[in-house]
Amino acid sequence: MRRAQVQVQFTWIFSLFAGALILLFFITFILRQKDVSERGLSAEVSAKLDAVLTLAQSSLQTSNNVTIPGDLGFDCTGFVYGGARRPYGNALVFAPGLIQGKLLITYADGWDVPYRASNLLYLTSPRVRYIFLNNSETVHSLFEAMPDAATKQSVEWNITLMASIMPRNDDYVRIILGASSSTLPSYLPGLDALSPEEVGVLGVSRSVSETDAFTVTFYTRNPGAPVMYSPGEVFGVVGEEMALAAVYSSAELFNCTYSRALDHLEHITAVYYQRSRDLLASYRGPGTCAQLYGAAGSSLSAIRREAQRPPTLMSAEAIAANMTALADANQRLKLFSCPTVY
Amino acid sequence: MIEAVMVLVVFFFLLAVGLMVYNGLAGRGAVQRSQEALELRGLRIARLAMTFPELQCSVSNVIQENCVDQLKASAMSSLLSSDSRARQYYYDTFQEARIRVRQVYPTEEEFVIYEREPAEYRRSEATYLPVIVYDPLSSGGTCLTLHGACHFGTLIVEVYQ
Repeated sequence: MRRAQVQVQFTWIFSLFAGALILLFFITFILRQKDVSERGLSAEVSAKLDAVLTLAQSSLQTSNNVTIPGDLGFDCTGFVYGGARRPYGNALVFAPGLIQGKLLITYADGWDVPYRASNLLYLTSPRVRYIFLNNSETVHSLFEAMPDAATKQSVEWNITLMASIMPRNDDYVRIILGASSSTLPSYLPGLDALSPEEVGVLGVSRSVSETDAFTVTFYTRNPGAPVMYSPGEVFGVVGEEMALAAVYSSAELFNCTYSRALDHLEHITAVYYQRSRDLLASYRGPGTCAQLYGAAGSSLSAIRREAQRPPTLMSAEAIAANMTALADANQRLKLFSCPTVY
Repeated sequence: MIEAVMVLVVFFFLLAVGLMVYNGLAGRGAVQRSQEALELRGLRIARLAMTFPELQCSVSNVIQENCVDQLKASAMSSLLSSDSRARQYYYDTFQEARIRVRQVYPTEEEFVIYEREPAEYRRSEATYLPVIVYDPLSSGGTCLTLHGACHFGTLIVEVYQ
């Protein structure tokens, strides 16, 4: 071949090589920018959601519908959107493990023991359905406490009515009933077709001592087994607000978040305990108030001790009994015109 | 052949200049965003602190807004200085920050509630919120509906980056 012909071929090969290189560069650049932009967007949306959740947490007993860009995953210490995880510090958030769809329902309430221990934030979606099988006063009370924006229904404890409950394209169905192993909803044939990931049962009952202690039992689904639901994790909890928190949560999430709530209870009780001691130390009025500060201090000390224990019904009952004693002492301090403990 | 190589050299030169300008602008945007994030973190912590039951004034659970209970603040401060578990617990909420209440009237006084300053930081941002400082030990008066005295002050939250 002549030199000119070789040069023309070389030029073509060179151009192809250079073109491919340039193309590769731009493709790499675009992909990288896309990745950076997606991560930036996820982080920005997560930051905005975090701000919304912080705000929701301080707006007590107010239900808000928040539009969300996509699915939100929740664990004990944070939420995940688009691969970006955002911790929410010590906020006590109770939610299903995954919220799908475009709407998030937020509701916050104070956890009073009897002093305000913390604010609880409940999250759900209209695509999660709550069915309250009305077989106890506690279940009725939880139904009333749940905001109307949530997809909730109350069904009387009647075999015919319960048999008529059918799936409705919900992401998840949570059944709430007054707990007792003998009252398990084996009469919910309409929901038999749902998988264990699509339906869950929660049993809630108030302590027999009629204090503010509750037992919450998360039942697990046994597909195809003669007993459809068997008791899983059981917790003794303090306060109806905390029992309502169990309605919103998965067992795993509740276990972890309630443990954190007890940690918080321990620390805030230490603050109130110190405050009651300071009030007692500086008080120069009638002896009755001094005695009441002493009694309040004992109750606070007992609550703090019990908060360090595992969440059994026994510890919840002990906390609840001391709550009653503390509320009584506080009320009497008010009557005697002394500064109250809380 | 030489012309083609020269065209490529010029092209890549212009591309390199373009990338440098782009990176410079992106870097400046990142600094601005990080400054905004720091300010937002300060505001968020200040808002959290104002709604913290550990600090809020209350009588039989009726909360007084924008009010810090002096006894609670002092109890919280001693808890954080004596209990390492509590210190770790509150770190998850406040992280590296300094929260203090400066009373300005009738007397000037300042107490630090939480302090975790990093060994090194590039800048800090302070957020100031006016608050009522409630003193339940002061006898013979009322503060809002509370038994005691009202003082005036500022809640100061400093965050670091």
